Amino acid sequence: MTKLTKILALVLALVLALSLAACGAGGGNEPAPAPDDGSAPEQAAENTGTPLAEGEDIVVGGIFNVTGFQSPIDAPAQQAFALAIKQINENGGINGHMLKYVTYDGQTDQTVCANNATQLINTDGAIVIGGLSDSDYAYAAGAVAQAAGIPIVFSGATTPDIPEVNGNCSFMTAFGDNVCAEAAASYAYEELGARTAYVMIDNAMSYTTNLAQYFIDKFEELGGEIVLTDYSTTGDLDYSAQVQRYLANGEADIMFMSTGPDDASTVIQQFRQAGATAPMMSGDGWDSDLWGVAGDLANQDVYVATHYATSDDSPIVQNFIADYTEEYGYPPENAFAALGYDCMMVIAKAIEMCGDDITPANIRDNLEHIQGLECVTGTISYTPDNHVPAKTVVITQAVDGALSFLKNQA
Amino acid sequence: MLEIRDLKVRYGGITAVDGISLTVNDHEAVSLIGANGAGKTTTLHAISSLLKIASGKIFFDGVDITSLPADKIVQMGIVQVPEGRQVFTKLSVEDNLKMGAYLERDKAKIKANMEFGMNLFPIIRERRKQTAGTLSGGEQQMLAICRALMTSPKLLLLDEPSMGLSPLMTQEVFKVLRTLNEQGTTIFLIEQNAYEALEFTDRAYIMESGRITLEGRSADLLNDERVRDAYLGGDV
Amino acid sequence: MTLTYFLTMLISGLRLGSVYALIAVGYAMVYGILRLINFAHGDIMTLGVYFMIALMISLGLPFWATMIISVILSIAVGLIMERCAYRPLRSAAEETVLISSLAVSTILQNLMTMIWTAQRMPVKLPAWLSVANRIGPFTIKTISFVTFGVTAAALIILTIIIRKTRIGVAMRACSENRKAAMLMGININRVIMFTFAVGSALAALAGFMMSGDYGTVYPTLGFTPSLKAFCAAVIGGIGSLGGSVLGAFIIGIAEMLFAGLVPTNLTNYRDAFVFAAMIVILLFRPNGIFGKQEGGRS
Repeated sequence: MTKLTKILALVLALVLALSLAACGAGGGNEPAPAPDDGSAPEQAAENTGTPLAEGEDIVVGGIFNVTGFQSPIDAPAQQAFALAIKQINENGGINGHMLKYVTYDGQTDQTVCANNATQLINTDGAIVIGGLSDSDYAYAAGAVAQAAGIPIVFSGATTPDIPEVNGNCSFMTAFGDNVCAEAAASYAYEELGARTAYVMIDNAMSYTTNLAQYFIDKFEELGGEIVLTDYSTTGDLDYSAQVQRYLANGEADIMFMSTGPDDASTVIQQFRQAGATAPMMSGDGWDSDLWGVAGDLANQDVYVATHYATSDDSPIVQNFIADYTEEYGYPPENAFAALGYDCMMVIAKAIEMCGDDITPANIRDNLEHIQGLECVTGTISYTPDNHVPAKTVVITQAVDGALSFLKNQA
Repeated sequence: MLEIRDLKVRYGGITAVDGISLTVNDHEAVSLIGANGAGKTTTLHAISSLLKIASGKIFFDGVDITSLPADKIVQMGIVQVPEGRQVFTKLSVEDNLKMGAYLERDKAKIKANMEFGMNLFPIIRERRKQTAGTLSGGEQQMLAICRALMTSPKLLLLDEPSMGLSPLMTQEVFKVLRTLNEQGTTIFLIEQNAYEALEFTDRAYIMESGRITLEGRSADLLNDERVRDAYLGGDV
Repeated sequence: MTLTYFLTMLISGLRLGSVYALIAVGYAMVYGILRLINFAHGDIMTLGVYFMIALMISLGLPFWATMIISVILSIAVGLIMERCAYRPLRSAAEETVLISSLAVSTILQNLMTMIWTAQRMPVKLPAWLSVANRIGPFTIKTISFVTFGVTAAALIILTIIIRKTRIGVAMRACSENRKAAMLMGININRVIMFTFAVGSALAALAGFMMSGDYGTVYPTLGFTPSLKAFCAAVIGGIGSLGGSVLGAFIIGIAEMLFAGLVPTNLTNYRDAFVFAAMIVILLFRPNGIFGKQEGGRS
């Protein structure tokens, strides 16, 4: 019996520590204040290096969480990023140099992402890095790149303070969460006529906590009222407490569900099955498979504020969809694929602007001067003071297994 | 009936039984006497196949039973009354007896065996609705013997039946064992209480540190100087 | 907070408790006989669900047939696990076997990841199971009723097996005193195999109920619920079947009431609450609420 007690005590201590750690994971990252006039990146290491010799390959690094709970958004991004590189090489490379692509799996683990960056820079000789669809991993990898003076462009990370925190080597392909959440709040208030809102926040991720806070701030600023704020944690299976509390409190005009991509379908299923009928809304994290678990329930009044919609008929969008489908045999899974593609397009543009003088420092400098670059997810411009592109947010609605375009919301 | 040839048992690096040989003939009562730790219980466990032996052979009625599993040994008719009784303390006395009849499918036979045991120990009949854990040590010993008799064993193995019992109770238990033996059950007994064991059995083996050091007719051993000094406390 | 809300949470707790009970009984049975905390138990539960959806997708069998076949497959896995990972260690120290069970758990989880990926997979049950029924002020899904029913039926059948059948008698004997049971001529291997078979079948059923309700499965699905079921078994006085069932309902209800009644920002601590509550209970009742308190004589 004493042996058993000892074992029990050990096992339980471990479990308790783990469950507390999981709950507390989001606590450290307070929502960042939305920068009004763009962030002012810190000046840091200049990596002037030696320019590439004629005909030498340009090593482009990629870090994507193709396994773990980030994989539904990172795996498509990686595929599109690789597709872009392939197309560039097929067209003769950039300024006479071919691209050499080296990519590692971040495994949805911040430490692994940081190690990947180190490996890409020190071992593989990457002079520019792309990837990552979530801010928590972008902070980890970005810090390493910053220290080495290697420019890094994040494909899908959306926390607007990333360049401010990481430094002047970090750039974002996506709009900031503030822009996304504010667009969602405006659409809910103006187009859906919502005056009361329920907000559920996955507080194990800084993305979801920030997104929710921006939504709340904007919705209240417009004159709406938040009737109830509830919390969940990444990977939750049982939302009955949240559902029942919501129903007991009385339905709101809109439910803003700030959870990650993996939990989206489960959240829809449980709220709808229990009888919650108000429109549901979320940010780009919900640009994922909403139908897997929820099935038809996902087609009932679910709105997603995201980066682009496949039903947009502009040539650049339709070409991307066609190319991706041809390469992989199925259409892009979500907007993060488009962002992965755009991420590489931004990098390519900056390399091209370097002319014959391709160094990490020059790529970084040129990134800051990209103006009006037409991309799949909108027009991208950077300035030395702002590494977060100001793009319009696309409001979509879940209809018959796809996100259908509703409105470009500024 | 039972023959052990050159049996060796090891626990890790320790040799608990170091090459013993012994026989028990039909209808005999034989005892294995020795101090604590001599290897007596280990020998009994080896017969019942409760542990793995290192080498040696065990025969029962001429059949090699060395590698048979414990339940097959019981099926062959070798039943053990273990050290410390090991009754099912949470079950009633009656359920304990039914548990002893696990291999017996004939309901009439079970009833008859139960009657037989209760006639040997009338106190068991009185206590039959009680939980076994509430019985005294002596009563539990009686229950353990009754339980072992439920499958009508040919060979009854007993591990220290007198341990923890009052002299009066010890007397009574041995009286019943004698009756059983006279009615034809072969008995192989392990005891620290050498006097009782030698009084009761026909032949005996003396075991020391895993080896048999002395064997013979119990009556002779009772008068043997060495046995008297070592096991009978000099003057009995 | 209204009474209706409170009762709704209570019903949710009962549903959760039913699932935990099915798992906890398996823990308790195996522990009772082998003194082994089989940490791979929860993975059998997950595996059962994967078997079910694999059969549904690949063979297109009717729902009830896939359920029966996947229960049988889960039993097979349970038996293989016992034969390969636990029987060779029968005489080893408790810690050694415990580590072996952790290894089996990891192996099973990795196997599931290899075959079915770490992604959540949808579990589609017949539509009538997901129907939400209005009963007075409550909304209760059909699957919740099915969960109560299956749990009750399984536990009643199990009780009958243990009380009335030969193998049940042998199980009771083994769990009380393994050595004495062997001396009664009970084939201990057969009893242990039967125990693993029953435990695995119940775990697979628990998996169906849970995945059917939440509509999803992934390789680590069984981890948290089986850990809570294990707590239930411990609270109930590990080894006691009735105790573990009661423990399971106590945990299920306490968890739901905690999640439903605390301020919203504490809701996420429900798992921590369950484990902390178990530690507190064990501090005061080291052998569980229903376990014998007087040290025991084994």
